Amino acid sequence: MDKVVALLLGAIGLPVSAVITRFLISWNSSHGIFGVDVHKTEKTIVPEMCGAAMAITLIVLAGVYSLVDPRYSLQLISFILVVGIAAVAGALDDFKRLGGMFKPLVGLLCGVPVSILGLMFPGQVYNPELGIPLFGGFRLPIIYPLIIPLAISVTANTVNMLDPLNGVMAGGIAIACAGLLIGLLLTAQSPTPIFLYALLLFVSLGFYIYNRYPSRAFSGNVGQLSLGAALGAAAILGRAEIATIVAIFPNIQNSFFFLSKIRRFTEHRRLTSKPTMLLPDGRLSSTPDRGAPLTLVRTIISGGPAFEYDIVKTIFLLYLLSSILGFLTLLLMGPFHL
Amino acid sequence: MKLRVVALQSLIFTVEWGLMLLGFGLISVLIVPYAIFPETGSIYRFLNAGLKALFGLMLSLVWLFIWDRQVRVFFYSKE
Repeated sequence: MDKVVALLLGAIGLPVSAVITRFLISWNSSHGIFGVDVHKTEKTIVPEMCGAAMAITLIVLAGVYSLVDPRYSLQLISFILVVGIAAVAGALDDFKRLGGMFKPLVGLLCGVPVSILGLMFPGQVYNPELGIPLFGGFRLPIIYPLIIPLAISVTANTVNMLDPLNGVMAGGIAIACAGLLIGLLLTAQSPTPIFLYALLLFVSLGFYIYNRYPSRAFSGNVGQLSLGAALGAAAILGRAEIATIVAIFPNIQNSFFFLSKIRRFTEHRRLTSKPTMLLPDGRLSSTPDRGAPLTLVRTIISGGPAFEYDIVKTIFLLYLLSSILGFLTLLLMGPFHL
Repeated sequence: MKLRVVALQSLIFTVEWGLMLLGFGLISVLIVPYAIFPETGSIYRFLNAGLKALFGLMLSLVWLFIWDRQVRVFFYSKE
């Protein structure tokens, strides 16, 4: 019964997120908050920062769930704090265009409430036992609280980095969370992980309605960072750390190859050599520039140019595969308690 | 739809997934149960935890290196 309530409350995230996104499209348009869709030949103008709808929905529904089931209120308070800090930082970056080191540092800050609350209330926020598929698990009482800020910074920034085309971030995270949610419904003995992943899935889907190709709303850093930080927090609070990493393999590959080529934290807009270029017929082509980062999109079109819609479909297929692997990881871990 | 890309990326993801499970298995069976320093004082507990984390970090670097080689061979061999 607890699991059904958690699932239903998570599902409410879809209409709530969609309605708030629709409102933000109008509000941001009337206040001049726009971005340019650079992958369209006609350079369409699209309302920016509408991803705030996801942050608001995540915070509100996590708050509602903490009232519905107060047993998990500490976990949900730490989740709310993570999303809140990430959203504020993302909004600041959207308005002020801060430096490349800002987001990784803020990502670290996002995880601090989870570590502190966990140390203040042992066993009530997170469990420092890392579940390992096939091999049981092991306790990390010293390292685990130190790794939490790093883990949340990684997920926040890796989600932030893979939103180059219409609908990729929201659709991709929704696919990743769908596989994990099915796995958790079969293995988790507590409703919290089910609620968190259901919430992430449906909130992403609600935003995807307006963000899908051709986009009518852009997420902005506010949505990207808060969704990524929420995913990291859900992985830690829901004890699905390894499965979540597996489910976001496309993000991991994109970030790793970006950083290994550029060798520093920097903003996409400050790159001198872009990984892709727009052809006059509307297709995207890999750049011949050897210094450009090896992003996932560039890898996909390394064999030849393609239309944006086809690249998005390919990325979704990759998310589907990694989501299945994430699901299998949870099954191999077996039933677990928080 | 870029089916060749999907096929090659599927291979890469599956290999990396298998390596990841193997790596965590190695850590849980060979590294975690044993203490390099006798755990008599808190400083030794921290040292043991640090050394085990270092081993985990080294395995992660090997894992990323294999990922890097695969992507470069499959997609950027001409460059």
